[in-house]
Amino acid sequence: MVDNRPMPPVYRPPHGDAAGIIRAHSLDPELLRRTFAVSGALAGTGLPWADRELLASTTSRTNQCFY
Amino acid sequence: MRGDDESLPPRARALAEIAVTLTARPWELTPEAVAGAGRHGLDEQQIEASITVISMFNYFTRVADATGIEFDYKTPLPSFEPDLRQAAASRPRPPSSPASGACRGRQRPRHEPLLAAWESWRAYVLEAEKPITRGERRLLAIVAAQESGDWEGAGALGELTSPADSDNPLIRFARKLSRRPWAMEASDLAELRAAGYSEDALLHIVSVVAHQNADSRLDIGLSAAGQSPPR
Repeated sequence: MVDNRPMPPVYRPPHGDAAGIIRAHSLDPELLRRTFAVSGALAGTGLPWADRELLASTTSRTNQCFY
Repeated sequence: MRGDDESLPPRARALAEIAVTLTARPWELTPEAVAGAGRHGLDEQQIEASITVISMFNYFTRVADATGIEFDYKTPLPSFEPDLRQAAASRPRPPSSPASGACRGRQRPRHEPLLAAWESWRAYVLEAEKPITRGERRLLAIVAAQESGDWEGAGALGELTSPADSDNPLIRFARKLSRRPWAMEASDLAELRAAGYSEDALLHIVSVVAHQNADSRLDIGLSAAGQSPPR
């Protein structure tokens, strides 16, 4: 189910533009769409958000990346 | 957060262990490690999704590091200081016999929407005809698969016909972004620009390498999940 709550301020970049990872893909809108469709499809798998965040942050930490 | 952090609850530790191994040393991921997550309440679909999240973040982190994006948000949390001198894990030797066509087949998510999204993404990344050629895409993907210890995947993509790494900027770039993404610098992209690649092409070069790192980890992770002992 789509949740239409407004985006919490903490998720809005202070620079007012799209997040950097989105802008990095913006030279090719089709690549952008297909890449982030995978993230969207994960929403229906039943994996709790807390687990998802833990996996993402551990992966980033292992790769010494802030993202 | 590390996989061996004993302050984590058991479920989180099991997931973190999978994330660390599949990211840094995918060839060492065991079915037993994946089964550990199952013992802490994750069902097959959630384990499949966990492996997909890890794979996706092996894509996103490489895109972030290769393109040099900056942190977007203000946070009250302590800032993360990456260890840019971190050594990459030693890569395993390739198998003595070349990957044959009689492979087990690529492992893919069984959740239909996830499978469809992944395959659509992969088809575009590997098959688009511009702004780089399909041959260049294959070359980049083969190197990324090799660096991920995915010899079967590399073999399915083809063989490296180019001479040594030092002679080909694409191979050099793919190997570095796969092995040490945290060490990427603006000069790595500058070298490709100097070789004649446009900004659009640079995005696709980064994307192919990052995607193959994700795809190889997806295959290796799901293969381990498929072999994990029943709970």
